[in-house]
Order: sequence, then C-alpha cells, then structure tokens
Amino acid sequence: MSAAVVDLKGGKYRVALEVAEKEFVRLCDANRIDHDTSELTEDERKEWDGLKSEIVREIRRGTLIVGEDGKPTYTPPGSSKGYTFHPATGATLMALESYGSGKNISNLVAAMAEVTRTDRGEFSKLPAKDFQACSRIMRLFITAA
Amino acid sequence: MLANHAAFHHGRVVDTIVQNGGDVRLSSGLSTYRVMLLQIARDYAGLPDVRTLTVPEIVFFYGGLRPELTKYTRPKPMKGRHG
Repeated sequence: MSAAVVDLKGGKYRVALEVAEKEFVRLCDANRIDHDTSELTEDERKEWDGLKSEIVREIRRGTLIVGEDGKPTYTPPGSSKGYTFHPATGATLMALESYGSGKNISNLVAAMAEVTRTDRGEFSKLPAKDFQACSRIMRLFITAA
Repeated sequence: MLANHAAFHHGRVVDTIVQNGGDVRLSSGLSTYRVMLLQIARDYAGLPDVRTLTVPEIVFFYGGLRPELTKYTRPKPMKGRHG
C-alpha cells in the first residue's frame, strides 16, 4: 500500500500525492515555469524542492485547486472566498517594484493583489498561514513571473 | 528593484533572453520578463499598453526582436594595440 493511500485514509489529505504532483506539473507548464531541476545547483534545488513540497501539500489538502486553464485558486480553510491567481502581466512586473528596493514583502503583496485582482489590504487580514500559502504561489509565479 | 530578489525563488522559466549574441537563461522569471518588457517597450512604437500585456504576449513581441538583438549584441573582436 502506498504512502499516499495511507494519508488519505488518515483524513489529513483529500488528494493523493501522485495526483497532486501531476497537478503541480500542470500548473508549472501552464505558467511557463521550468520544473526541470537538472541544471540547478544544490542550493537552488533544495529551495525548489521546499517550495514544490509546500505547494503540493496545499493541493493535497484541497485548499489549492488548479483550474483547467492552469490558474491556481487558493481558498483559506473555512472561508468561502478564494484567491485566483491570474497570469502575470506587465502590470505585475511593475507592481513588484512599487516600493523600491529593500521592501520585498510590500512589493510581493502589491504583485499578489495585482494577479488576484483584489485589494492589497485583504492580504493583511489573512492569517499568517494563509498569507504564506499565497506568497508561495506568487513566488512560483515570479520564478516564475 | 527587489534587493537581490531575496523574497523570490531562484528557479527558472522556460524562456531565454538574448545577451552577447546568444540565448541566456536568467535565474528568475522576474529578471527574464523584466528585461523583455523593457526591450519591447523601447523598440515597438505601436505596442499596446505594456501593463496589459501577458507573459506569452511579452515573449511573442520579444521573439520578433531576437534576430537583431542577436546580431547587435554579438561581442566584437578585440582590436589590437597600434603604436
């Protein structure tokens, strides 16, 4: 019996590991993200693996859903409102430089608000865990874009 | 610009930019598409509002500039010293 099946029986996850990993690859392909790690250095690969495992975990929990068009939607547990991450545009790249250097989080929030088409203030009201989940998706996009 | 892109992952995207006469893959999507966006904004007079361009559109317009960018960014041979 695979580990994924055991996890599903335990009730912690809703999606099997293999399925979640396929969804992650689909998410990457739809957003021009290179998921081939053969050219990465050891540090880069560790960073990539960490980011990937966290996003795969969100998919397995059912809080992150990848749509047919490859757009991810994160819905905080217990909330009815989800945040759909639309493809990055020129405005997203500009939003990443809204507050100048050294203000990475402010710039990240500006970009997240731009791609999710919400107000910046909404992210300040999110619990830290949900904010981190959203920021991981954004980081992937910027590896993304 | 984000300081060292510290908040961002150092993974890569599938797209490359033209540098020194060849295709170069940068360390992040932000760096890649930023270079592309600035280049197309400079070189296309009739470009739609750059804020509305999606990444595939940015890549499309940048693709049109690749041949001339490859030609004009190719390193020139060093000239020897005279006298």
